[in-house]
Amino acid sequence: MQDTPARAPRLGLWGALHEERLDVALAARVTRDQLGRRLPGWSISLFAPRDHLPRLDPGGRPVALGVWTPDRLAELAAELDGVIVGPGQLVTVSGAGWLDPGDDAGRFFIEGLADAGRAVPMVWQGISVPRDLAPDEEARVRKAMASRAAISVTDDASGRRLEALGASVDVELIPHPAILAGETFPAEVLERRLRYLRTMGWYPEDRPALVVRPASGWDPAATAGAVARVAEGHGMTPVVLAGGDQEAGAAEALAGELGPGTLLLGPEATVEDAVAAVAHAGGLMGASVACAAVALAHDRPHVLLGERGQAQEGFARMIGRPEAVVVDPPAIPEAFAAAVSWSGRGAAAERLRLRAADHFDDLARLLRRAVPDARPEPEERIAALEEELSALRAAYAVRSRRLVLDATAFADDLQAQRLPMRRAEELLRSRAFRYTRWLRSLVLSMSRLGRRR
Amino acid sequence: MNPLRLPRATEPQVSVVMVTYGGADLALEALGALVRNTDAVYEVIVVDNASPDGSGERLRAEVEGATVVLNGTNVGFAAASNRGAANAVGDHLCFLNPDALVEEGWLAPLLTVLEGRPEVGAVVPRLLNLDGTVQETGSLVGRDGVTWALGQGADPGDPAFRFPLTVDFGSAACMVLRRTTFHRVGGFDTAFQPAYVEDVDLGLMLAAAGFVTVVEPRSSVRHGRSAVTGAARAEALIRANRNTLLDRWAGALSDRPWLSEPAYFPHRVAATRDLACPDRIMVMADRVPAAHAELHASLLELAAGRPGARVTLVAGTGPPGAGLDLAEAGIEVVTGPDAGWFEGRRYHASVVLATTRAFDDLLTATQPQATIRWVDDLPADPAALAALGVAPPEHAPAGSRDA
Repeated sequence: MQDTPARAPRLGLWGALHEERLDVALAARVTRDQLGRRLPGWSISLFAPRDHLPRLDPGGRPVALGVWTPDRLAELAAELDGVIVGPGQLVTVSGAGWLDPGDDAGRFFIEGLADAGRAVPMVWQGISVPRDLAPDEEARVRKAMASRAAISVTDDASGRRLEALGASVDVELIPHPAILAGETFPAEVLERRLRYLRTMGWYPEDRPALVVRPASGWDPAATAGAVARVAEGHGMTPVVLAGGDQEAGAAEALAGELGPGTLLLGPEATVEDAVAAVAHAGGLMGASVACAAVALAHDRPHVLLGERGQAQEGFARMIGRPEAVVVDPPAIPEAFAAAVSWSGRGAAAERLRLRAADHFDDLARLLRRAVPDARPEPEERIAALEEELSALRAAYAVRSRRLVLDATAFADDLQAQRLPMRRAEELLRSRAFRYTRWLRSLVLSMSRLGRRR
Repeated sequence: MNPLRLPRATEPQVSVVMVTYGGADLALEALGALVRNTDAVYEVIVVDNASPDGSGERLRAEVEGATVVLNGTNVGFAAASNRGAANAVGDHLCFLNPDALVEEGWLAPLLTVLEGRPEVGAVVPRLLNLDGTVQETGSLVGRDGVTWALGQGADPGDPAFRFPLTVDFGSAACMVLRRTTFHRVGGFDTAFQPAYVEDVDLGLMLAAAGFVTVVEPRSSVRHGRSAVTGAARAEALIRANRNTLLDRWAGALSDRPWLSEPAYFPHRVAATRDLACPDRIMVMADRVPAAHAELHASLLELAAGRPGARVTLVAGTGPPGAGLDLAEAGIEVVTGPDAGWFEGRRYHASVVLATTRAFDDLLTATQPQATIRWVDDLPADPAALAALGVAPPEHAPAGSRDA
């Protein structure tokens, strides 16, 4: 009997990855990068309700989840060895979110693979529950939680709401993955994006940028007044950053209120552009926890514009600065001044980075455990030998490169020795030399004639 | 005037980005060729750099179905290209110059490479001059920042320039990349103003991120080099931007040969091209073998088993067009080489397998470093090849190596 060759384990990242949403795309990019580093040899694919690669690239075109039917679930269960769902909201502040009973995609995110996926660990990653759940929602979430291999939230209020339902696994409080953005987006990439933004006139050249992500529900005029005071007081140029199409209107409104001198980084901005803008800013203010995490990771002062009881407060508590959240515009200038003078930023960033890294370590361990290496021992040995062979090939390639360079140097020396002769030959063949020779012979002839006389 | 109609696609496979600065007529001609010769689902994004002659407005009026972005000022090629990419929704980006005319069947071979080989960061076609001669089959960059376009001026039917290979960079005149990869490396660098050398920088950036740039000569695009900029100005811009390139990449480039003065140091081009090839196997034959010949099969076997190696067939004669099938299989086929060709390969081969004595003097003079074996027939058997000094076939995961 011939064994089926072992295939690489496959992990699915599920979320609203088809949408033009900066925070979602950013989290997907970092999560994929972090898990990719920890799970070498695994294939990591993106899945979303729609097969659409948005301009805000989450790291590749997501596969459409399809319709939540037993056949599709069986297909996905056969295809995947693990599923990470998130980040995302189980419910929105005023709506149903993933728990919308009419939303087929929500069933993938809540019920997952159902019975078809008993052997496929499913993780809720960075889930948010911004309000108390209704009884019917509670029942659905409770049932879903029973089949989750791990659950994490990025704010403590969401964690408390889930724990109150009686989770079968610990609900872990984790920093937003964007705290690790520095590893996913190398400094040289961000610098070249910054040069691009400046070339386009979308980022200031001569003064630090005050990057502002508009907060939904905040009055643009009142927000603009406070932002303008901060910008003026700190010698910065406001840059309004839209995190995708959905925020474009709010960003334009805020930029309009701020008036001339304000720069708008509209929906054309890529994920790299947004990260570069925040990472090099003089400061950040906005509702986005993802952007706040990027700012913290790059040691930039930041103020969160939020509402009581929401994710922004959770992040502020996590960094040990509840005062980093403001809930109305007049409080912004004072909060920003405090953020600028906060000396604990570096330590807080390091603490959150380590915590996020530990979380990804745990997640990778969980996934590896859940996908036992089914390969029989001889194949393991073959894998080890292949690894050894690969290292030998790499060494051979280095040696070969060295040989080519040495040989080229020898050939260079040889040709350099021939060079004067070749140049002399060329000179002899040149028109100038022919002319000179003719002239020389003419002079010679004339001199002979002169002697005869 | 009838507008040029481009297909509208909501989920394009490819986003074609064309940067214009003047030259609307050229751009319209290029877009016409694109419409005629492209089968894939694609979108077109034209980014006009504030053309003083109103080319941008004209293209907006005369091209239906394209996204035409009008920049307020001339921000240069790199920034305009990045802006086009930021507006794209296709899986792949194709940067296409307005003086580049795609030929029939140009796109499919490029997409096949990109979709089948995850290690490929960018793929470029064979560029032809407007007179049909080869303009370049990919390019190299030396330690001195000097670049060299492979195949320049060659007969387009010459199989010597028809084999797919890894190069240091491809011309942005026509280059296809995964959109994700382009973003991941930060796109084109606007430090190269207003144009030129940004494609060299991108190739090096891709290499630093672990990707390779590949030329796929089954795809052809005619390109009127510097038709928009003018040759003298282009040369000046290249010289100026080379300094920026060296400022940035001097360290990475230090581990490669110089490329200046190729007329006096002709061996440098092949050495640079094959720097990453662990084996450089030269097979000498009296003639290019016919498809049914044993040598033909043995060559295919030799190349297929060693995808990282450079296999070069050096034949005394061959009818026109002979060896194209070998070239498409990744074998460099050189017919009737003269002493100058051998000078260009000085100290190059790691192994020479000679089925003829016709080149003995030239081999002895230029390949003293190589293991030279004279054989009646080229064996296909790995053990027999190993006995001749050829490294055993590679057992590599698919897609992990060069073609």
